[in-house]
Amino acid sequence: MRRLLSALILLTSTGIAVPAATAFAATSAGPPGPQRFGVRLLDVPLSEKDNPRGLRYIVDYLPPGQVIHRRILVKNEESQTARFTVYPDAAQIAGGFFTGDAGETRSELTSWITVQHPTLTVGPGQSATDMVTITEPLGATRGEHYGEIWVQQAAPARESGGVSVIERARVGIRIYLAVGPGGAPPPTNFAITSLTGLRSASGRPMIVAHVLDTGERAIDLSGQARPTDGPGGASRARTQSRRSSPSRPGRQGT
Amino acid sequence: MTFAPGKLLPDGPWQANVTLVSGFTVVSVQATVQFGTHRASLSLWARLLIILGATVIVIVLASALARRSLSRRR
Repeated sequence: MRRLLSALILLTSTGIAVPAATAFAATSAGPPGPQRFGVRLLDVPLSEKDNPRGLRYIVDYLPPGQVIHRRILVKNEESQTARFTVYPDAAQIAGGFFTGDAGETRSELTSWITVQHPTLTVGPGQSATDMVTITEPLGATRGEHYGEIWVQQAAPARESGGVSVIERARVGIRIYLAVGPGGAPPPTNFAITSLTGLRSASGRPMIVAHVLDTGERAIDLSGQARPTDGPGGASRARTQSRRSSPSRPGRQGT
Repeated sequence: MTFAPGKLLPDGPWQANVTLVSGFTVVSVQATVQFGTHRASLSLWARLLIILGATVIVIVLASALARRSLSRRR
């Protein structure tokens, strides 16, 4: 069994101080609906402990027949007891976005996933842990599989204009699971193929980096840009981009 | 990946230093960029006026042609 680093990070009760890796859902004020809640990974492989992606998502490379376990922490941020459902869903990367499919869509990856507690009841301000187990069959298809573990809350049905409306909110943890023969994991790499300067319609200067995923795994980009040696030797402070911009192997994007 | 360094930045040229990260992989590049002059785009009303004007011209021309062909037949 793989060595796991148990990385329990305490969540504070305020949304502001919650670690960035926690995914949260909230709905606007109004009639009683889903509450504010969040989910994060508790277990990270030692090999991924310094990898920002590994801390945030389930990222792994396994030969067929392996089993991995990941604990997740579900935090109820509201003042009422809440009931959550936890389930796997298919996902895909397209157009620079990692998107979970609608509802509870099945895929080859989701058929390998079990959740220890498909429903959780969590008291106000409390948290609960759940266990996600991924059992790869011997005949698993080689390559990288994408999925999502959703934590969902559904509000009681309410009438609106003669129609019964059920409001659902869900937050998830992405899964990037590569299946291969074992040994060294397939390479993750990318190249910046060009840098372009332009001005938007509102006159705002933009630097656009075109990226080609040259590895065999998906990438999630973040980064920074700094214009230097401008007119009169001017330099500007670094501009950070926190936007995650996923890309699949062999795909180009900006 | 798109960066917006600040609205008051002159056109340049500038040396753009960009570093991108995905997990353990870090890639940095440097290139000369020019932000160029902003080309004013037409407002929605201006576009609608142009479309309306073009439509009116087409209708006028079509009706003129129709009258001409009718008068020839007579």
